[in-house]
Amino acid sequence: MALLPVPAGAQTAGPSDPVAWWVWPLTLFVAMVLLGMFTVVGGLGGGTIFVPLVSGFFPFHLDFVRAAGLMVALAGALAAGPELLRRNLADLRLALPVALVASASSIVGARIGLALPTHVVQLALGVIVIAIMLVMVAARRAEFPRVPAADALARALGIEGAYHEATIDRVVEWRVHRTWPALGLFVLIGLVAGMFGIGAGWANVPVLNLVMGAPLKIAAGTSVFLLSITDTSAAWVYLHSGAVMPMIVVPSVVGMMIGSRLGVRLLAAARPRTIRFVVVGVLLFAGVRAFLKGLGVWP
Amino acid sequence: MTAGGRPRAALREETLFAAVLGAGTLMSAVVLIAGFLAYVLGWVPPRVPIAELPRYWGLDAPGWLRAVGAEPGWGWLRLVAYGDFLSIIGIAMLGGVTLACYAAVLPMFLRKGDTAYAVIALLELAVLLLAASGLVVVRH
Repeated sequence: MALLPVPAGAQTAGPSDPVAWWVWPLTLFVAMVLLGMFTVVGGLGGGTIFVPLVSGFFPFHLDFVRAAGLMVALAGALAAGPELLRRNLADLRLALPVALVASASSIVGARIGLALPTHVVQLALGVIVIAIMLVMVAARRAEFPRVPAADALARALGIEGAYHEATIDRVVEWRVHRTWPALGLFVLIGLVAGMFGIGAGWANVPVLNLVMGAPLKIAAGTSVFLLSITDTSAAWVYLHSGAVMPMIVVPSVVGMMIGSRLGVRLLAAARPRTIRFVVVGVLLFAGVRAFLKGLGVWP
Repeated sequence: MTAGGRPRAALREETLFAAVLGAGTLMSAVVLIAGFLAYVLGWVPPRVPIAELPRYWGLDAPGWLRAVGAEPGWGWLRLVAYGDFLSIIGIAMLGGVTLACYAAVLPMFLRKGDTAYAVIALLELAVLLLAASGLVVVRH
């Protein structure tokens, strides 16, 4: 088998980088370990902050960064999914209908994102990340939302459940309403996830919790599980479009997983409010950076 | 919410979904890490020499495909003899785990006569198969 010293079409490649090849992947790995720790303690999925941060400060093209962002979110969700289902913290009947619309629209989002000029996507990414930051700051969460009655669609689909809430040592029975408006919102969530390669936990939880009325724990667990379905379809589009580079994906995924595990251990000792403040600050900084990069003001 | 009653046990389809998800993810992770080690340790020669990668990771996806002589879609599969493309197998397997989960629970919904969820699972399978087919790619 012949190794190609200079692959066909190498005339399109960029100039040689004076920095050794391993510096950036190693820096990426270390950064992802730290990011994984902070995002777990700050209560944010790693995928959301990955794309603006890495596209802003690493030399990789946005196409590769978005694919890696999807893989980071996907790997985390796949790893957590089985335990969430077994512990009854993710609900299959709640997840499957919304996953269907979100995963279909994420394909459309991925196609749009890959077809648009890079600076336009970068600019829009800045706007969306700043909007996510605002949602994080402003959105209130209801631990046990009041749902007087399930709507007709939820009743027809049998979306309801009961789980043991350890903090109050009681069994919580839940049902959902406003299923149709929520499905509409999941179309938008899928579009954004596919277009920018960011996980959608930041949007899944508020919609499941505040719009549909699922208890916060069920909303959070189902949201993580949902990512394993939504991000899969978008990830395939990126993979088949040539945007998956293992040297970027693997250090990101492994680093984020190690960081998340360390972060879980830190949870007991850390001050979540302080960490959350730091995460929001980093999100704002990364969003502004992406926006200015898109404008060409801060290349 | 209401309090009282008994917590619902995980449904049989949830248990099956979880089992396939867990096993598929573990297998994919092993293949991913093994493929990547074979690549970075030089056991399987890469298409693009690793030291040359910094010249390529600034290209967009179509530029990268042109540079390595790969076709969009499943074209990368023709290059799996090279370490950098061998590593993609584990990534593709991660993308296939959810497909396997849906394929596993669909017969269960059908046997239960749960038509709504059988249709939802079928439609989701169609969506995932469309994405995985390589028909939805962006060519510049």
